[in-house]
Amino acid sequence: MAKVIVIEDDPDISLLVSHKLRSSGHDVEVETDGQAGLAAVRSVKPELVILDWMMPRMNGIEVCEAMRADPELAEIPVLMLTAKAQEIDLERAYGVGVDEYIQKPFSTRELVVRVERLLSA
Amino acid sequence: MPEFAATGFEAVAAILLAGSVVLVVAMIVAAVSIRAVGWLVAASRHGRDQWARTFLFGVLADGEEQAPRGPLRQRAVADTAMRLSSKLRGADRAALANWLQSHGYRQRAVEMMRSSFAIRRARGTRLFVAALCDRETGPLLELLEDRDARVRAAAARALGQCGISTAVPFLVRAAQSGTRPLPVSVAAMSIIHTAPRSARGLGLAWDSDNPAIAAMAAEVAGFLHLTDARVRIERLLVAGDSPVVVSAATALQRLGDPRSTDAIARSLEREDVQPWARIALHGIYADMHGVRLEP
Amino acid sequence: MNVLHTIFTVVTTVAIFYYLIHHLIFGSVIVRAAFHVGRQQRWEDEQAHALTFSNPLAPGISVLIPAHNEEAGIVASVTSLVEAHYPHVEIIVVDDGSKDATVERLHEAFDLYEAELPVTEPRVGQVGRVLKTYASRKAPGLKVLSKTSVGRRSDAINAAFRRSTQPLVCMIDGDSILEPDALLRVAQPFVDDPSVVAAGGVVLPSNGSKVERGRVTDARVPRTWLERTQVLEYLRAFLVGRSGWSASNGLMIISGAFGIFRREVMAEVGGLDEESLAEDAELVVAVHRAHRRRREDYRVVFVAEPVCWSETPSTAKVLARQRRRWSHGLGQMLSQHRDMIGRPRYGRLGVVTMPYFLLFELWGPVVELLGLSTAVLGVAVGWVDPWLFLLFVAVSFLLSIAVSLAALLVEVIAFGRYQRVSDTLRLALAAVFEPFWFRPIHAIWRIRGLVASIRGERAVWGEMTRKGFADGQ
Repeated sequence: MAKVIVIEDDPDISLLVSHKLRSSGHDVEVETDGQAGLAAVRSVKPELVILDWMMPRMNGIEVCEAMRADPELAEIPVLMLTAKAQEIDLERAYGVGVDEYIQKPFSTRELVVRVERLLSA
Repeated sequence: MPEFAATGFEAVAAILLAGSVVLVVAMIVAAVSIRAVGWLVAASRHGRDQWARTFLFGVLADGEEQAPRGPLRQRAVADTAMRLSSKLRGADRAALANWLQSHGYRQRAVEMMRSSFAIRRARGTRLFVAALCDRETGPLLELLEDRDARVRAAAARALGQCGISTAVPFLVRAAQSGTRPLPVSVAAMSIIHTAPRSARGLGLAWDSDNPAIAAMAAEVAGFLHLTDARVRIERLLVAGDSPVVVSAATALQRLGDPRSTDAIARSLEREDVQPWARIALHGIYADMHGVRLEP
Repeated sequence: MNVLHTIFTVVTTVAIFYYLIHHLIFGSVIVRAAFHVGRQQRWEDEQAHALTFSNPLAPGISVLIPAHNEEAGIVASVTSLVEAHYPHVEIIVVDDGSKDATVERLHEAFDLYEAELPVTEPRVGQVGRVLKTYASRKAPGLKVLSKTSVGRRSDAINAAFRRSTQPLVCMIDGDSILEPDALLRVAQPFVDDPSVVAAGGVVLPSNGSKVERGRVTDARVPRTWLERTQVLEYLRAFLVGRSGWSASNGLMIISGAFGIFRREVMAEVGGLDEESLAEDAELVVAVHRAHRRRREDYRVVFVAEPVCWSETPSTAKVLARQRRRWSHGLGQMLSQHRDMIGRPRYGRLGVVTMPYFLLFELWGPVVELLGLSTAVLGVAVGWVDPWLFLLFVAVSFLLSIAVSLAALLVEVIAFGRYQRVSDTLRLALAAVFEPFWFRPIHAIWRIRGLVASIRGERAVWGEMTRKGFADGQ
């Protein structure tokens, strides 16, 4: 059981992801924009963050950059879940310190496997 | 004084005035109350959506749920299923499709696709895709020749979403149709989504009268790394007009075969290539060859 | 006395017929617009779905942003484009002789470095001298060009156009914010139909709305009645006017604040007219003209869904200057293309739209004022029953209120961008008040512009001081 924050503005996806993770026993909190998400990460200090890229107020890349710049949050693993599919996007995401990258449309089984791997690392 | 004030004038004036006052007041009331009602409708739809989501998450988890009763709920489930299915893949999508099929949504989709309302036909294609897993695409291929362009586009997108590469020749043919054409770019993205492994399905496109279709074939082949298309694309460099030449060169750049550099160099010798296209060609040539030619 | 009386009768009759025809035409435009928006709106869901079906081959767009002293809004504006949901966007900001920190703000936000920006379109001219060109480390598609100003927006856009590389070209203002999917939506007609040569979207005042990091997060109606009335004007002009004209392919104006063209077409007419004050309208008319001449199939379309939020004047002084300029520009443009007016060869644009703009937009305020003063004179002399006069004024006011409300209704039914019921009520009230105070002042501003265009005054750009988007305001 781990504390996970999902930052995602599409309710279909954020609810599905939180539903899945909750049923595999995790404690999930959902935020719908980057700014609120970052604030929640700062106050909760979760064990994993699932991030969308394109969001209002602050995009996922900026959230990840801010986390990596903060010594208290730098170690929290980040899984990026995004519709961005080009090579350049992947480079950019890993460049700012994302640990896993899953493209939408996605499979929840794959998501769960990768989440468990990140949590056990 | 002019003779405006004839008999009955006062009555007409009163009607005119009263009429326009009523019109204005009614419109103000309508605007405000429609906004208020709109808010209520959105709230109740939001509630139903929420319910449908939880319901379908249950379906994804065990696949055992009974079909809901009542047209509003059924519709909410169909709508949510369409949305979810385009965001999922793998086992989740299969589970969703299985459930939809075994609970009559497949039949519902086919009926929608035969509706006389264009928008219903278009929505039908999406439900059909959501309920699809046995790869029977006949009804979608039929809709590629629909009388409404938006339905044709919806059918093409649906084929792309199913990922059926045998549909590629049909998509190319639909784009070339003289009477009921499928927008070329829609054909292109649908073909990309079907992800064919060879350029064979594009056959008809290379010799098309419509330069946009040849350019599309080149772009698709480049994007999907279909190396068996290289020679056909190189031919476009000498035959096509400026936009086609640039598309072809960009595609060759993506394929990255060093044999293509000579063909690009030859296209740079053409007099009829426009300046903006020439700049693009120089960039591609330099990229492929490691040489910088000054424009 | 008799001669005077005859003149009086003729003038009042003409004025009455003028009103009647105006309302008749506008009424039919409203009906067309309602159908047009309604038809588009029913497909909204499908459209939204189609957009998420991403197309890596969508034609690239070069967005050209002229910026003259835009330090307040430029970063938000560019951010909205960098974050736009579109596969290939090239952004070219032209710093047109800014005396403020426009370039510095961009430097801070996007990490600029000096880079070459080659000319790709020698067919389009440029007057101002290029000082420096930059690219960005943070936003790969962003280019910035600093040039000396010649006091014209058109020259700044042409300078950017000369260096654009994508097949579609979009123009927005340096203080505008695009909705994230606005580019996808406005580019869609080009994708679907090869005969579309130009498209425009909706521009709405951003005044009063909450803007955060290049996105309007909460659309609200502004605080002052001057600004509220402008919101109403924009709704009327875009939702009713443009969708109505566009439905009959007679669209004449694509707002300079948010318009998109096929690059080839814009290059063919030589870019924007450097001399014109109404360069947006001039461009559209030139495009119409070029295609009609060649008897080629083409379409100029309006898309009612995508919104570009733009700051509008908040003081009467700046607004007066803007409206005077618009009127001046319209007069200039219509006289430049007067050979098209009334010519069936130029289709509906020549037969309906241009005459409409000439008679009712350009000369409207003059006829209105003339009719009103004659009637007042008539009442004073005793030729007209005061009640008749009052009735006429009341009915014409009520009709113009009804037109504004119709536009508001279209917005409320089809889009509902302003979500609060109280905001809808405020706009409705603004519609009711408008004829009593805004219309007369506006008429005077427009007449001044008309006079300027008749005297052939050389056009100059007005300065506009902007407040910018205060974060979280």
